[in-house]
Amino acid sequence: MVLIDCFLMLLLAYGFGFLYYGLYRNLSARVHGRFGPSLAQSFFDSVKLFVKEQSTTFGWMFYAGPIIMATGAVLNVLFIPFINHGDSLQGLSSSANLIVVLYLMVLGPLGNALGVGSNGNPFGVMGITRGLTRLIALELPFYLAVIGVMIDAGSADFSAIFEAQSQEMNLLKHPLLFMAAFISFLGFMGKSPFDVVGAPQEVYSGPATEFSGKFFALLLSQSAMFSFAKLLLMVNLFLGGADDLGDLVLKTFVLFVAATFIGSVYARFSTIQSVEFLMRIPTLLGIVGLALL
Amino acid sequence: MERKTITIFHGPQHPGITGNMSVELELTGETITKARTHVGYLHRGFEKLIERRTVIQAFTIVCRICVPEPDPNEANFALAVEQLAGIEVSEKATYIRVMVLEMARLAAQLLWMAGQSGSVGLGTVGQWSIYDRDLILDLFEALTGGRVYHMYIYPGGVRRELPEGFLERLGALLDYLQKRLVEYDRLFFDNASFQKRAIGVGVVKSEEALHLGYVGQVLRGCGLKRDVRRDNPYFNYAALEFDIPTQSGGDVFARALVRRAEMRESIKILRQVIAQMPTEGAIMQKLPKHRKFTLPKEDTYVAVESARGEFGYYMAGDGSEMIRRMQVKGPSLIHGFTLLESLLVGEELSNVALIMNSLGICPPEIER
Amino acid sequence: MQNLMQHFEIIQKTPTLYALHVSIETLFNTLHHLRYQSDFITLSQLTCTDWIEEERFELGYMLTNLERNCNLMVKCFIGRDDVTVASVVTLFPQAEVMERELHEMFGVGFEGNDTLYDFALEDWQDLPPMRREFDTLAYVQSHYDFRDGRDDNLDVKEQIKIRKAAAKSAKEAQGGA
Repeated sequence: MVLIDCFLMLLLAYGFGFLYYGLYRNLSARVHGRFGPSLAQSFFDSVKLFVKEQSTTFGWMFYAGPIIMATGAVLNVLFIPFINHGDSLQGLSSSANLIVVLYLMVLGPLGNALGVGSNGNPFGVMGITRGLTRLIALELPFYLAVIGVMIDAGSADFSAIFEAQSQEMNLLKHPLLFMAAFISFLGFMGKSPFDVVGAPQEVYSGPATEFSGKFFALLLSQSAMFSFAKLLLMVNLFLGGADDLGDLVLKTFVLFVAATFIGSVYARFSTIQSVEFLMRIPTLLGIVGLALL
Repeated sequence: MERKTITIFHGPQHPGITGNMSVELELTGETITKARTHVGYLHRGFEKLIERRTVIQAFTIVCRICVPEPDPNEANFALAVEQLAGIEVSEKATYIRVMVLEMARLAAQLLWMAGQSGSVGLGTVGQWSIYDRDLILDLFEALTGGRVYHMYIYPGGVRRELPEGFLERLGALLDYLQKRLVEYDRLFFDNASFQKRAIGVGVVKSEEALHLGYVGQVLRGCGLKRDVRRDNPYFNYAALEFDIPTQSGGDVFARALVRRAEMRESIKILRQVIAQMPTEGAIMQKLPKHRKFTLPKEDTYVAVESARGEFGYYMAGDGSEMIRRMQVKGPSLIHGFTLLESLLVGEELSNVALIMNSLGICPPEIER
Repeated sequence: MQNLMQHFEIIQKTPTLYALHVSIETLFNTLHHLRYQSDFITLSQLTCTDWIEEERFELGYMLTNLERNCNLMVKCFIGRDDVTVASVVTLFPQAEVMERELHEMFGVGFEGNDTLYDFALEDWQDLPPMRREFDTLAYVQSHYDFRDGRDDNLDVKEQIKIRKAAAKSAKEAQGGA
């Protein structure tokens, strides 16, 4: 039963991940004043890349990178419940808690660093250095907000967090914590102004520079699934989780649209600027939010 | 302590570089310790080709010298040939030339805006401004038959009469652009994140700018009121009213603000041109026969203000129908080498594209 | 400008363009004087013209004044072969790249400029390409192959002739009828 549940969750995450990626391309195209590609385009891209072969190789360490990242993304999807009650679409969430999920969120960038470090491309290394530098700054406000949520619920278990939000969701109870988490969520999603990792005008595609074929497809798929996992986490922590599948789609979509629109009207900060900004404003919001608990 | 550096080539195939050139950067971490410009990916030998061509044959290739805004090249070529051959141009033709040049300036500024916003990852502005530029290109197509290369400003006048209703179309487009500029202000120039990136980056000192021969927005961005249209008027710019906007910062943002103000000035000039355009008069002088079109053994230097600064031509005739020597002086040669190589030292890698775009470096005119 | 006109033989070409011919010996001193004693503080272009029939190059230093409204071209004839001119990098730092370009394109040497490496061409061993004796066509023929064209690129001149003649005779026949 659990296996079927897990399989379904992964399938949903993959589907929603690429659907949202397609929607992102469409929505930002509408902001730009043009028509984007069809929604199915990102699925086609993913499938097409899975049947292509590699053009370069740098040894097995290089391939380990995307695999570790994909592991992180898959585990994240499995450990975050999709629905806030019942038994379906819970995955392994009953045997893990928020702390495991937060720990696993760091696995991706570390795996990336491992793989990219072995290919020797200066742009890749620069991209990953940027990514890790930014990650430190991103985690600070996000963890502050998460700690606030955990204090409020009195537990790190998802069920307790849902329980605490059954009357009023955390977004309304602790708006400051939500703000802090949302700003770093923008960074986690790689949206402007924090999209320093793969800034094309600076470091080409950053960490993804040397990847091709199947492993690039793996990289794309895991990033789509991971994006959906982050959306889920935000929904679970601050929007009270989803009551059913329709609610899930609605809540993740609202968050996603907000992130997309914000991302398309801001210029990119430089690495130092984004670290400074994240260390200052969202962190301050988080601390004040914690103090108000 | 000795610090280790790595050397990377920023370009020629790089989204953050303005055209087919490359900058060799020595980096410590992400800080640039040394920069060297490399060109040569686009050398087409125009100056050599022109030596073997008659005046009229040479006319067909001068517009290819600068891709983003070809019209200053045509204007320069026409000015130089007219000066050497002693040709007078009718009033109507001068007005049409001013109109074409200002439309080209607007188009080039919109293209710059796309590049500048792209360099900080604000792609939305680029998509909008390229659309608006296309509307100007539509007008160019109606007027000249070409969208990017027009081959329109000809020695002796301009090549075609204005189409029916052209000035009305232009007026309507100007109304539209004026409304759009407000939107650009809100999305781009007043955007806090762009200001955060652009203020204090790539600062040029005014003293240096004067002595090292920098032109255009680089000069005006450090508070120096220099503009060929005013200092050394050509066509009938002396009779038109316009301001020369300046800023005092000398940084990327100051140059962006200068360009923003220049777009408004261009619209102002175009409105005057529409109002004053003579209805009568020839647009073309009678020129000698193609093979008999000789230039005297004289030389001259002419310059016009392009969207990125002074654009000059040195032209020498030798008494035959060929041009002995035509040498192009674009703003990019000094900006791309002397200025860029010194500005980049100490900057971060993320600011390379930002600075290059704000200097308006365009490799086709460095290596004609 | 009046003051300068007393010192040098300056010709006015247009209201804003002046020219001055100097010899190669006095070139550097003249430029030095203009740079520090007059208004012409900027070098905006360095030109070179090949007068092959007179066996000489003409260098032109386009100086621009502080107000940027007046240009003075300081010109100097130099020989065509193995000639070296004093570099003006110390007076005008921007001359560095201009001299590099002329060195590559014309083979003019500039003493005191140690950055005369490749500008636009890479490892160019041939004659400097902007000299007039450089034969572009011969260079192209010796270095590149011309493409034969497409397979269906047939010579249709004959057919066009036949077709035209047929049309003409048909017209004549019609006119006759």
